[in-house]
Amino acid sequence: MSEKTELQIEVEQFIYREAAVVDQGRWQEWLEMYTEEMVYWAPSWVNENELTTDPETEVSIIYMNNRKELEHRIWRFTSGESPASYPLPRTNHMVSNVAITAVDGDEITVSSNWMSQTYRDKEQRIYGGYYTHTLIRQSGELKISRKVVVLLNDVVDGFVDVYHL
Amino acid sequence: MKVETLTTGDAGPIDFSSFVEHNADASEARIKRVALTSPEIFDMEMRYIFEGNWVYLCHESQIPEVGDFFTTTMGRQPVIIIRNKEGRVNGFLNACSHKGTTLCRTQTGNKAAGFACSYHDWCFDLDGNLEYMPRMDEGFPAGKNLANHNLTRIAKVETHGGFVFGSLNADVCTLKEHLGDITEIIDMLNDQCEEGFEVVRGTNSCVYHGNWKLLIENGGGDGLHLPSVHKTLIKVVQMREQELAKGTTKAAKMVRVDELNDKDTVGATYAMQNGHTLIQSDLPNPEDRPAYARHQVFVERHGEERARWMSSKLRQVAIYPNLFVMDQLASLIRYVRPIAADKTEVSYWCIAPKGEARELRVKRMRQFMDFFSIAGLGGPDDNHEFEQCQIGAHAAAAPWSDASFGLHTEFSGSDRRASEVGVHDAKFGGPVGWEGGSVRQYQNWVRLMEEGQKREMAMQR
Repeated sequence: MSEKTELQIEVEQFIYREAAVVDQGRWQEWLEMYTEEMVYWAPSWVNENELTTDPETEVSIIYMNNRKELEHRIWRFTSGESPASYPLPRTNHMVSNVAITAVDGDEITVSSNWMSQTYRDKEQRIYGGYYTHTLIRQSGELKISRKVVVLLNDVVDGFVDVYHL
Repeated sequence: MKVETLTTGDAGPIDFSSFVEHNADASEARIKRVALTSPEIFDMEMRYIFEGNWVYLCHESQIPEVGDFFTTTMGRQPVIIIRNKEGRVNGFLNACSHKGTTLCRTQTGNKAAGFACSYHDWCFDLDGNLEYMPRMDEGFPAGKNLANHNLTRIAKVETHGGFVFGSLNADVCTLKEHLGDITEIIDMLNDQCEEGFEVVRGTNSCVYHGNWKLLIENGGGDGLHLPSVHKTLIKVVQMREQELAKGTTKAAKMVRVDELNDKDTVGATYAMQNGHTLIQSDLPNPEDRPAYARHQVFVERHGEERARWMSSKLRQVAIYPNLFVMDQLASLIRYVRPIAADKTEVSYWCIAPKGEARELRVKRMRQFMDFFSIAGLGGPDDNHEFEQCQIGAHAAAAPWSDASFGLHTEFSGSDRRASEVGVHDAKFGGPVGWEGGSVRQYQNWVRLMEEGQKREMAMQR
């Protein structure tokens, strides 16, 4: 197997594992898939076809630039005390079209398409869009240093949290 | 037990005054929950309130240039708000005078060259006048007056401080009279910088499965829900402060909400004219708000008390029936669009002083997203409670919601603090948590519904 094919398989397996970890609620494991300095960004739509481009000065759906923030978020939605997140929905993340778009030294940029089927309160809600993962290797293991989530639904039913995306 | 039903026609008009019971002597107030669930009442609300009175439309910064438009609805009617050649804000029904086809089909855009309907190429100028149609000479006899083919204007469009309002009913008071002293609170935004406020790029909208009035009463006077619904937000604020102290996060410091309900915190809720409400309260850590950076400038220009309101206080106005102007944990427009009795769209538009320094804007954006985003740590919990209220409102054997908290502490008129900043026309007030604000909102609802019903019955006669 060529090096390129090996990397493709490793990256795909990693991206699929993230989806499974979220769907199975293995939150500590999910956290550990990210670097401490990670960025998680879900931009907002400006109009029908344009997204915001600067998470610092424009509106986003979610913007976190440290793993602590993700940790706090996970605490919040698993605490049982956030009405919006109790009970948590069942989620089913499908990820496809996984493509390595750049390799720059240790840094691998990966694009993919995603769709999540979620179910709660006898109601099914579907979300979908694109991911761009930036992966780096720390002590031999892949970690997410940056994840950009584009959500196509721009008026969402109810609300969204990281477990929908 | 008699279950409430609603019928018009043979049964005669609906007695809306029976929906709100207010017994000041007993410090008791309650509201009939069928107002939240009845499709028939929703229909009447659309006609009498949203299509029969002043409603908020958009912010002028969303249509800065000639020909810029913004599409929205007034009740169920699609409308276009557009800036004409003279820079004035015009409003039209978004329906071609020919076949009713919509003319503007995106949220925003520019029609500086005028509107061309894509169905038959009828063209209108920015004042709604029919200018051209293909084979115009063949279709109509020479000299025929086509003025009745112009676009239909929104009967009234007026602005205050960048906020654009309109009414489909021409027989309403002026916008100035409608807003009353609420204008002081809007001015406190624009006075924060030389060029005024703008809406920041990026939308944030969701639909909750509940009645629109649930959000209006929540943000109009319910200061009681903070420590319960938002307990995880309060905890995250504390967690973030600890991490900031350790230097392990780069997120902006959040504005604390945990002390807002303390009886020692200086604050009040006021029931204003025409169903509007105002909440003001000191904030525990105003120095973490972007506006605080200019506190000294505010003092020099506007005096101590007004400067304190501008930089350090939570100020939240619910402008009846569909707009919140909020300058508190974040600064935003919260726009409410009823879709059905049990369905409401909410849009959160972050607002900021034009030309704000980058580091302040960065802080502002983080504080906005922390609480109010559709994925925020606060807003989703509120909206979820509205959905649960909507389900409970169908428990018709328990027809009343209580709104009595703090009624015994109610005072008449404005208090000293409000009067000091020019807010004189409050009708009643009470501490933060006093539910009188929502009672007065519902009393205004009764007035609008009764007036609308009377108007409609007079037309039918």
